[in-house]
Amino acid sequence: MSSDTGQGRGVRLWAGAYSITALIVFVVLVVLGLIMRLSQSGVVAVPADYFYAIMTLHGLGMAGVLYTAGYAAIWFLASKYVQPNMALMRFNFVLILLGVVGLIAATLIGRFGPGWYMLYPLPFLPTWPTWSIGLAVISVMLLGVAWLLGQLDVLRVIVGRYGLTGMLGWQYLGKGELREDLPPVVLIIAVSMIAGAVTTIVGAVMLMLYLAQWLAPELQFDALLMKNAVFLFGHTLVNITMYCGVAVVYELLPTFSGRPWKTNRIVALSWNAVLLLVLVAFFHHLYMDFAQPVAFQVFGQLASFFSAVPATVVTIFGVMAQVYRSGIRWSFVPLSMILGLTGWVIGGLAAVVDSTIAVNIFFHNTMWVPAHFHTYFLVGFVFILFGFIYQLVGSKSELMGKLSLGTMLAGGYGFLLMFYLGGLESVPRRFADYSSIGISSVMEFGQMSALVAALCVAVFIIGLLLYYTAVFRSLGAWLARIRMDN
Amino acid sequence: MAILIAGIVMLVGVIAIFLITGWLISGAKPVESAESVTARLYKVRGRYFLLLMAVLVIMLSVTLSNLPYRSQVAVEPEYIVPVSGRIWYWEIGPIQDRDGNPLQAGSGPMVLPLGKPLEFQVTAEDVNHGFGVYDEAGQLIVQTQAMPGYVNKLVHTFTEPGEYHVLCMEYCGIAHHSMVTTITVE
Repeated sequence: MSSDTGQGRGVRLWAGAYSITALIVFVVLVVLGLIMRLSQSGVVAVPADYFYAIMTLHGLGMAGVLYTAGYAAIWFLASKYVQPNMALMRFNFVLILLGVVGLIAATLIGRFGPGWYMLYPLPFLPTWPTWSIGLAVISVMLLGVAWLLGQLDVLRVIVGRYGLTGMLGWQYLGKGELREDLPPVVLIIAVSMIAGAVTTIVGAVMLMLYLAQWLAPELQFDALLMKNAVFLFGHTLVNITMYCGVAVVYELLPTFSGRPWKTNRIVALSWNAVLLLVLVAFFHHLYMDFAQPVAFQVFGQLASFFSAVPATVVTIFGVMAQVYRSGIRWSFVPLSMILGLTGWVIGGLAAVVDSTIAVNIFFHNTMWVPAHFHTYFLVGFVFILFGFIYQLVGSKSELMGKLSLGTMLAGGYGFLLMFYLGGLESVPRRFADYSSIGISSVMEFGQMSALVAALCVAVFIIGLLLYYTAVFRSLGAWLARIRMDN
Repeated sequence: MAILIAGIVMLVGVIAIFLITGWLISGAKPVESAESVTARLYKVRGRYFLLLMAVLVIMLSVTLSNLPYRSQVAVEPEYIVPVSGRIWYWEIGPIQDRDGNPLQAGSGPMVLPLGKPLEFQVTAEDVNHGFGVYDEAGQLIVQTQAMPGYVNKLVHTFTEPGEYHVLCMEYCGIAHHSMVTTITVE
C-alpha cells in the first residue's frame, strides 16, 4: 500500500498511528490475560478484586482496541474511494485515548470490575468506589462517541458517492444497467457501519441511563431490557470488528492473487442478509433468561445458524476463487489473511454450536464461550490485522514474519484448546480461582488447563514480539517514504 | 449426549477446516485461468449451499423441538423449588407442592425428591446470577439465569440420587467464584 493506492500522506500517517497504538495496547492486554490464566491455575495469587478489575480491563480493552484498529483499517481502505474527515479521525484519537486512560484508572486504581459488558445492575454494586463507576461509564461513553462519529462519517462519504441503496449494492439485485461498480470492500464497510451506528446509539442510550443512575442512585431500570440493550450493542460491535477484518481481506487479497474480486448479485444479497442477521443474532446471549419471550430465543438461533450461509457460501468460496490455482506467492500478508479467515470460520463453527439452545444450556458461561470469541479474535481478526499493518508499513522481514506467524499459531491454538476442553468439562468462566468450587474434577481441570493455557500464551507472546520486531524496524523507512511522497 | 455431539462436531469441523486451508495453500499452483477455476468452484458452491441449507434446517427442526422454556416443556412439575441469588450466596427452598404447601420443615440441608419433576423458580435480589446445577461427576446438567425483577422457571427431574453442587454461572462481583452451595437428591 504505497502512495499509488490513492491514500494521501495524512491518511497513511493516521492509519499508522492508530495501528501502532493498537499494537502497543494489544500486547499489554495479552499480558493481563496471561496474569488471569496464571491466577486461575493457582500458580500466582491475584486478589479477587484485582483479578476482576483486570478481567474487566482486558475485556473492554480488547473489544475496544480491536474494533478501533479494525475501523482504522477500513477507514484507510475506504479512503481509496471516498474521503472521510481527517480532522475527525484526529479528534477521535484523542477521545479514545482519554477513554482508555479513564478505564485504566477506574479498573486498576478504583478496582472497578463488573466485566466488559457491565451487566446491569452489577456496575452499581458498592464493592468498588463510586468515582470509579462514574469514571468508567464516562470513559466508555467517550469511546462510544468516537466510534459513532467515525461510523457516521464513513457512512456520510460513502452515501455521498454511491447513494443509500447503491452502497448496499441494491443495483445488483435488479436487471438495470450498472453505472458504477461497487467495490466489495465498500459494501462490507457500509453494512458494518450501519449495524455499528444503529447499535452504538442503543449503547449510548444505555450508557446515559447508567450515568443517570450514577448521579441519582434511587433510579432503577429493567434488568432484562438493559441486558438486551447491552448485548445488542456489544455483540454487534464484536461482529462488525470481524467484518472489518473480512473487508481487509476482500481488498488486499486480490493485490496478491492478481484476480479481481467484484461485487455481484450473490455478494450483494449475502451482505444485505448479514446486515439483518447481525442485528438479531445477539438474542443467543439471553438463552438462559427463561423470562425472555420464546420467539426472541428462536430468532437468536435462526439468525446464528443462518449467519453461516453468507459467511461460507460467499466469503470462503470467494477466497477460494481468489487463490486456487492463482500462482499466488505465500508471503506473510496473504498467509496471515488465509490463516485469519481459518480462525474466523473455526470460531464461527464454535459459535454456531453454542448458539443451539439445547447445547447452550450446558455451555452457557462455561469456558466454551471465551473459547469461541478468542478463536475468531486471536487467531482470526488479529492475524488479518497483523497482515494489514505489515502491509501498511511495508515490512520486508518475511522470515521473521513467518516465524512469528508459526509461533503465534502454535501458542494461539494451544491456548484455545484449553478453553474448548474446559467448556466440555463444564469449567465455568470468569472465576478468579477454582479452589472454592467444591467439585474436585472441575477444580483440577480448571487449574490444569489454565496452567497449560498460560504456557501457550507465553509462546504466543514470543511470536508477538517477533512480529513486532518485523513491523517496528520498518517504521523508520515507512516514515521516510511518506516524507518523500510529500 | 449434547456435549459429546458438540465436541465431535467441533473436532470434525476443525479438522475439515484445517484440511481445506492446507488444500488452498498448497493448491495455488499450477496456475489456471480465473475463469476456469471460478466456473468449477461455483458448481461446488451451488451444491454446498444446498447441503448447508439442508443440514441447517434439519438441525433446527431437531434442536428447536427440545426447548427448556416453561411454556415448551410438556411435563407438569409436581413440586416447586424457590431459588434466590444474592451476593454471594443462594437461598433455595423450602420445597412446596403445587398448592404452595411447604414439604420440608426447618432450615436443614436442602433435600429434593428423586424422579419427580421439579419447577425451580429462580430469581435474584440484587444483581444477575446464574443458577447452575452440577452432578457428582462435575458435569453441568442444567442452568438458568437469576435476574432481579424476573422469575425464570426451570423444570428438571433428577434421575440419580446424590449430592449436587450449585454454582453461580453469571459473574456477579468479587466473590462470584465462592457462590457455591449443595443440594441433596434422594
